[in-house]
Amino acid sequence: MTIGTGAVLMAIGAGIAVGCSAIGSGIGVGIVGSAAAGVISERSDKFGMALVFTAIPQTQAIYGLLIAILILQAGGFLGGTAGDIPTPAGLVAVAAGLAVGLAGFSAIGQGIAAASGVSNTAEKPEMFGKGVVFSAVCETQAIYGLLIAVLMLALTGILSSDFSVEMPVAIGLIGAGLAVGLAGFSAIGQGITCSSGIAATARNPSAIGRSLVFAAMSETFAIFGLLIAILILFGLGLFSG
Amino acid sequence: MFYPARMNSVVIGIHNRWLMKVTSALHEQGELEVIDLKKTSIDEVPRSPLEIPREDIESIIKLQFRLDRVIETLEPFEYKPEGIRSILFPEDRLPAPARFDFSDQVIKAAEEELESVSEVISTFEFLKKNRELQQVTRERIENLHRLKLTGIDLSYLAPAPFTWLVAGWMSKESLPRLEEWYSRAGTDEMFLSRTENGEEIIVLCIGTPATRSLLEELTHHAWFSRISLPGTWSGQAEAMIESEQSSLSSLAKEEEELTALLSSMAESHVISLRAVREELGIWRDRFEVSRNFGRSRDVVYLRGWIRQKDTDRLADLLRKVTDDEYFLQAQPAGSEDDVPVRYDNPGWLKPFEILTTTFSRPGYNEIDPTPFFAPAYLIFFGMMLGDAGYGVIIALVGWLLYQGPGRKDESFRDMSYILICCGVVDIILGTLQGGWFGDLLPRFFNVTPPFILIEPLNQPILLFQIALIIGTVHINLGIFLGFLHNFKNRHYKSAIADQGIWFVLQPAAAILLAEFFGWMTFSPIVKNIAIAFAITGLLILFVRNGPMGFFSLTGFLGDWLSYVRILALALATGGVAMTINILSEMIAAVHPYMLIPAILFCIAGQFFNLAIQTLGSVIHALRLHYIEFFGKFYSGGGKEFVPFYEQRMYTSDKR
Repeated sequence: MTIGTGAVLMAIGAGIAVGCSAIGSGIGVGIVGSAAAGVISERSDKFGMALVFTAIPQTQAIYGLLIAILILQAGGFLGGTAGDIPTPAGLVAVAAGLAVGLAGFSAIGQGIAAASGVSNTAEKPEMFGKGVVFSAVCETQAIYGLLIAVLMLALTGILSSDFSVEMPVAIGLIGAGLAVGLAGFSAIGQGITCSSGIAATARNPSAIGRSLVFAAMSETFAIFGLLIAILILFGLGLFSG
Repeated sequence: MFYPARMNSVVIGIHNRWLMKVTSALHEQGELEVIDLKKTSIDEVPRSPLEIPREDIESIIKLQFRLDRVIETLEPFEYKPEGIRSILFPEDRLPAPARFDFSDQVIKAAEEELESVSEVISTFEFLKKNRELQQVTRERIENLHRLKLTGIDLSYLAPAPFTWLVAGWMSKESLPRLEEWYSRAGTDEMFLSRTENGEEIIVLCIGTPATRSLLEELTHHAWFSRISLPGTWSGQAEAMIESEQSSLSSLAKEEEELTALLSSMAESHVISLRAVREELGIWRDRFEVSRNFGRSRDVVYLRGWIRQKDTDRLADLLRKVTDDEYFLQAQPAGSEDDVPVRYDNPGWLKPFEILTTTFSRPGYNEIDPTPFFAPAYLIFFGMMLGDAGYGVIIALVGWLLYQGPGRKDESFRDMSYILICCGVVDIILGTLQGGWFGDLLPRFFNVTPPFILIEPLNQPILLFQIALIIGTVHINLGIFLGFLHNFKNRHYKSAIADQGIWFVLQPAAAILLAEFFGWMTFSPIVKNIAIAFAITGLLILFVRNGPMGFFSLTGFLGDWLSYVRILALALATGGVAMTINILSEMIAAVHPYMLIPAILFCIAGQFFNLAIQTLGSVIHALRLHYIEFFGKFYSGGGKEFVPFYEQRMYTSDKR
């Protein structure tokens, strides 16, 4: 059995997807875990609450894992039948990996927000719901990354193991992956805003609406990335079937 | 149902002699929020404060303090079932019934209860002393084991007229410090004996009375632990160890007896003590609420808020209790800021109010979003989790919690009700999405699940389109509610500029984008109308918001696209479950003996996925409401309605 360049690139794409998003989630969970450890050193009864916040930035790694599995399954890796896959199909997998993997760095912002959620909820238990929502705000970038990755794999037919995608389309998709993936870093800024938003809401509960508006402003840049990615997909003729 | 309950502001006047009876009746009825009469602006109502029977309150406070102390002492000795079973099936201890009509009866009953447990504190003090003695004895035995190694007769360690002795031990690492101290002492009137015991060194240091201060200085060093030498020690250490062991056994036996005594006291008295403490608390509330009342010579006045539909019941209650010696003035709440907010939802919606409150309670004149929130939340949760197998587990856990702790705790009951609803909706939507622990049924049992309409992993584009359609409907519902609210309150300008323009901009943008991307073609008239609508909408938007109008546009787009998280989470649940199934299959394929580890891995993996994806679905379904939906019409900030209500956990008012 010959392993084609496409299969190798697919493996790389899967690696980027799970690897980058795992770095993001690892850092994010580390940030909130550190705050959680501080909280439970004083208030051991807050362990359950702290654990929930610590789990929030893990989702990005799950999205990365999901795309990696979809790529490996489409390429026949899971059945041990990865073979002579054309190079363009492999490049699409790399693009999908970049989209979800780079967007996975949004978990850092989510970790910053969740750390503030842990600290404020330890002091004011009624802040739990609001803290969780502020933390969830920063996940949008990862969802955009996942969306573009799934669209790439589905619209090029790779998800159903159809590897007939052409080279120019595949290279173009790398641009789409970079657009939405790199725009995902805006979640770090959003996380900082959300962190302060949680503190502001803990101090003044009626500040939640306006704090969310501030937090949403950083999301604008992620929407720019998403728009460009969708326009690239459209320009490459993927939406026209 | 779509607005908080309509409230009446009421002023009540009763004859003095009915004060406590009316207070108790209002407390039991629990439908009136009493507000401070001093802060009202009703001129005709006298403001002289009501005198509160200070002696009664002081007696209650003292008794509460004593009861707290006794209950806190007995609680650690109370039998408490442990483990998951105790959470799911808590012991059904019926609360003690309320027995008292007047505060002096409660005070008397509390004094009697305290009398019956008068030995609790002294018994506990004995127990504390016993435990301290045991600790001291254990330390003595440890030290005797150390001294045993020196081989010295313990009688020599007793105080003597011409010598001063210090015994102790230290770690081997600190030996240089001891030597430094000894050489610094620079006297030949001291003798130092050292005995090694593994990593420890046992030190005996004897000197003349003149060296006493030097020897005492040694004991102050952190690296030196002094062995206290009771005067009763004599003979060889082995014999003394036996004697101390015997004392320890006696103390342990005594501790057992004291613990059993306290446990039996806890078993027979804690319930009634808690009941009487609760009853005292209720009577204290009844006395203290009268601080908010005002009075004239014969009449007591009070003011409060009550639901309009409860006002007649309040009048009936007053008539019955006062024998018609009362007056009640009720006035519907206006647009005052301080009107307290009480939800007005049917029973099946009530548990979801907590989700609205988590964001913010609605203002008195604001739409209550709960009736819209509950069904949409369940649908979003079901679509995001999208696995019928997980739904069965969630519904089952919810049912167990409802039957267990939910029977006693209202917030537990609400949460378990929400869990059951989430589970049931997830079973329905998970079935339509074909998820039964991922692809477990087709992969391992070759069974195709029935009633599948859409499979997220195989038809992501279709689910993507459905998610965006749901987003469009949901956001527009929010905009429509905002429009209605503004229209009802005659904020016509805001209704048009903040909400109305989106009804113009959205179809115009849809037509223009569909034409631009080549998905559809429209006649020139339609296109021109769309262009005109778009320009008008944008003009209003930018005139109203200035440059920030740009962020309104991107914000709207972001809100809409945010609904693709429904697809993302549905994919994540199915994808991770499928991964777990594939890995389990791989483990099982290694060797027939690996079948059991594969099954265990599959079960653990599925439970992990259930936990993490349920958390994600809960959070993101909430987010879609709090940010995308509420952002269109809801600000909240209402003041909670706090009725004057007797909260009973350990007593029952059923007599």
